[in-house]
Amino acid sequence: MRLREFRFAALLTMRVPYALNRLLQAIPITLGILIFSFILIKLAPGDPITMFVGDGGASPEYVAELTRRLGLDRPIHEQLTLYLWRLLQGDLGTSIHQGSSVLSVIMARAQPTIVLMACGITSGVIAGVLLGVYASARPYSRRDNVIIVASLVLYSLPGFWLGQMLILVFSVKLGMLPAAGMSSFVVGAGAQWLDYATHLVLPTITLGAGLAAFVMRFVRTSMIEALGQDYILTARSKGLSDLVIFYKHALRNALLPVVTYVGLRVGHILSGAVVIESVFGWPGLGRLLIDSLFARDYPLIMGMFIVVSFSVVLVNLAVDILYSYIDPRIRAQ
Amino acid sequence: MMPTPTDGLAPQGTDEDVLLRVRRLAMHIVRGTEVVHAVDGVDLDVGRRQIVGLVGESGSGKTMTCRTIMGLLPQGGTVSQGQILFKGRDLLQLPKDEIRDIQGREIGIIFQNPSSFLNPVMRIGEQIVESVMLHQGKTRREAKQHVIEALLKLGLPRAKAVFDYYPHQLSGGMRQRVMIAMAMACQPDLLIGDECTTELDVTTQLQILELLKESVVAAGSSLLLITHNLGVVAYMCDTVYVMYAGQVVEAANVFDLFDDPKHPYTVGLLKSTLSIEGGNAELVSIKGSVADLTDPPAGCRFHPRCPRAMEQCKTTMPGTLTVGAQHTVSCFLYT
Amino acid sequence: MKDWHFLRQAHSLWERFSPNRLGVFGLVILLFYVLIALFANVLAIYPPLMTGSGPSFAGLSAAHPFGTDNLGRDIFSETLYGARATLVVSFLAVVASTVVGLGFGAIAGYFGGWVDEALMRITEVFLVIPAIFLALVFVSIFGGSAWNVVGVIALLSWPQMARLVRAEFLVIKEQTYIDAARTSGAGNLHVIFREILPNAISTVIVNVSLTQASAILIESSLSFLGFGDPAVVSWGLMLHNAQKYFNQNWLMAFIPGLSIFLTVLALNLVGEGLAEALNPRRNVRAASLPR
Repeated sequence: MRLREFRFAALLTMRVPYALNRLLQAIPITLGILIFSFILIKLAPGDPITMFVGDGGASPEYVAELTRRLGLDRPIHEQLTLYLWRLLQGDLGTSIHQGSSVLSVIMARAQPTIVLMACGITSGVIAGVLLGVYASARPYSRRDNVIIVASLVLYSLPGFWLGQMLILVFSVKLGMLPAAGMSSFVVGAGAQWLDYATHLVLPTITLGAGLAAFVMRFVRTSMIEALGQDYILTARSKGLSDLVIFYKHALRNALLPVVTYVGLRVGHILSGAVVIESVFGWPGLGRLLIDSLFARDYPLIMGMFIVVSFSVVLVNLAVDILYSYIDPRIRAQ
Repeated sequence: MMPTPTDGLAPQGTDEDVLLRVRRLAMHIVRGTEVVHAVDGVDLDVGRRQIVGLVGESGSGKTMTCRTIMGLLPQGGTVSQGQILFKGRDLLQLPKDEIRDIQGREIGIIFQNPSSFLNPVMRIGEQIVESVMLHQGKTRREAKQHVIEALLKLGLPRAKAVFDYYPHQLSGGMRQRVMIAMAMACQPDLLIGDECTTELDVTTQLQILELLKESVVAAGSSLLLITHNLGVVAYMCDTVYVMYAGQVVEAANVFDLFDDPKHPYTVGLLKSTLSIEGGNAELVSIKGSVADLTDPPAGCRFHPRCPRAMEQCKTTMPGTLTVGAQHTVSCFLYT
Repeated sequence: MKDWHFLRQAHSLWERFSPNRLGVFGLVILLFYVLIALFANVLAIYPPLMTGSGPSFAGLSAAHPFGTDNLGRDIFSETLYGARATLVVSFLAVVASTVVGLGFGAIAGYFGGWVDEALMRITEVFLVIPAIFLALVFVSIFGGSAWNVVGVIALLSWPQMARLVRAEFLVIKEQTYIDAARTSGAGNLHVIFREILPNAISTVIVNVSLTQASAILIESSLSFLGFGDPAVVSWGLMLHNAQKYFNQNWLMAFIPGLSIFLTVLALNLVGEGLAEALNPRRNVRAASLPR
């Protein structure tokens, strides 16, 4: 018993150098993103003060204070340092139109987007894996070709158009599902959950469709490769059924790279979510971005830019570390 | 003594006594527009508690013969004729689920390269236990016990720990022992070893072969050993089949084969092996290269490389003739 | 002499491409839309953005094959003109990003060292930032004119091309014929342009097609969200207008969206067809479970 615990602890500490390594690699990228956003702000035409204060005009004292705080009267490299220092402290500025700090505004609106993305990713991955496995059972057969074409079609569909068409069919013509928003007015906790779920259906399908297309192709290739391996012959020689060979022996190998792959696509999925939130009136970060763009709320815009990009970096990092845990070949190094 | 056409090498007896009786087996593989005649008329017998060797160069069809026996045809492969009588039942006529029943439980196979033939993301214990649970209906706990005992007997002293290891955590020799354990898990009557020591270094090879022999004898099983190494054959086997270009060219018990090889190919093989071992100044080899199985030579397949080829060898296929008590050969020299 | 070689290569490429039915299908659709874009002014019934060409939400008729939108614009004509914006903007963006990507990728792949490292870091930054976010921020800061849209799409697409080109260069650079060229005294520029680049071309061509597909998606997404150029007819903009009027005339949303879908699909099919034609990979048939 004690040996087991000791081994577990040793395993954990051995993982740390790898995680640390990946963490260190993430720093230059983050820095790059921050510098890039600084450049963007500096390149913007017009008076920088207006960017922070808006068109409403402000008292000269406030302008002076802001000038001092942002270091606008100082050389550029000092401005950059000041900028980075502020960001490190979590100060993303104050939203012009909402009044409160940018960070708090973003946090308040993050949840619907996270929920939508979680549902979209889950449904997309599940659908993609099932179809990819189905196609790989009989490669180059008719059903395989159908699935490949289907994935090409799904992949080419503009997300906003798919969303609109789904609304057209299911909301407008059939009246089965709500067209927009996150909730309608219903009474009672149970009814509220159901209502929430029905509002989630169409956006989730729209978001998951594109991901499913990618995952489908990827899983198919991965499975075909796994099925061609020698250890599958060993499995067959033991008299195992087709089902067991497929799901227990081949799939386990084939799914490993899918994890990394989905992690890499998070940025794209996020982009898709912005558009879909607009189509469905989903009150998340995407809508927030659009609204702030129209309102020219620059602190909020740049704040969202930074937060979102940084989140993608974090997710990639997490996926990398996760992968090192699930692949036994790396895990036991 | 006039050689007579014969029907195989096995000791006389009913089909039940002879564990495996293969007759006129032929299998071809279709790849696009090419047809590879991998196995072309093979007769083979394995008796109970026998160790039979199947020798030949790569491309001789020995691996494909065994895969066909096992029911593991490659993509595009079809059996065009023949019988595979295992304990009296023709495996080629059995439905799929009965074949699956036999695979693993009554016939086991040990593959060549334990690194690629073990699933890298499954613990090795699991890979053996699933066979036991499937064929012997044991619970997981019983099966685990059984497997750990088997691993101990196969020379893995830390069997309990090893049970939870992944293949990459083991050395080559250990992995091959795992493969043996996997093939023998349900105590099959017939064990097939497909070049199972080729990838190992020489010392380990010897260890594994000894282990294999012990286990097979202890379990009362038979072993069909595929190899291109005549040394292994001399060490392990009771009877030997020599294959060339998808056909059996000579079959004998091991003593007769080494003392009195009949077929020119066997003679060539022995000479070249001995020339390496004996440290001759000159390496003797068989001239020419292995026959192309998509377009085999007419007549006797070996005639282009045979130092004693005659006119009829180029046009007609020689039948199988008995030249001794337990010795058959397929060559016109002996008619 | 050079022209003959080029023609022969093009012909052999066609030989390998044509059996792919999907690829040819895509090519046909692509040509269809290119023709529409070229001859929009001839085929259309009304000039672009002409409001009040008919009553709002008019039904289908000879004058209005797809009806009209909320401001009486003829959907059929608008769709035809929209092809221009979409194809031209995306094409220009792709050209720009290919040139930049080729340049950076070639330099990084060929010279290696810190130049390569620096490029990798820069492209990583771009590849991490979600595309729409970058595009929207850019457009909001610099304005949504057509040229700015071209610029931002090019900005988004060049990193991928650069990476691809760099990878190709890294591989080709190691080939022996490069050494041969160098030892015979060829300068760096000559080696890059005359030796390595022609061999990397096939990957570049495939990527051009696929990049244009994604460029169209980005452009139409921007227009759909309301950040494109309002003076230019584009399919995305039409969809943006259509949001509120599903009940009145669903063709407002269906037709332009279908066009976006078809052009993107066509480009993807052509891209995939080219990839197959240039690098056939169908020869390995895996040993799946027997029938």
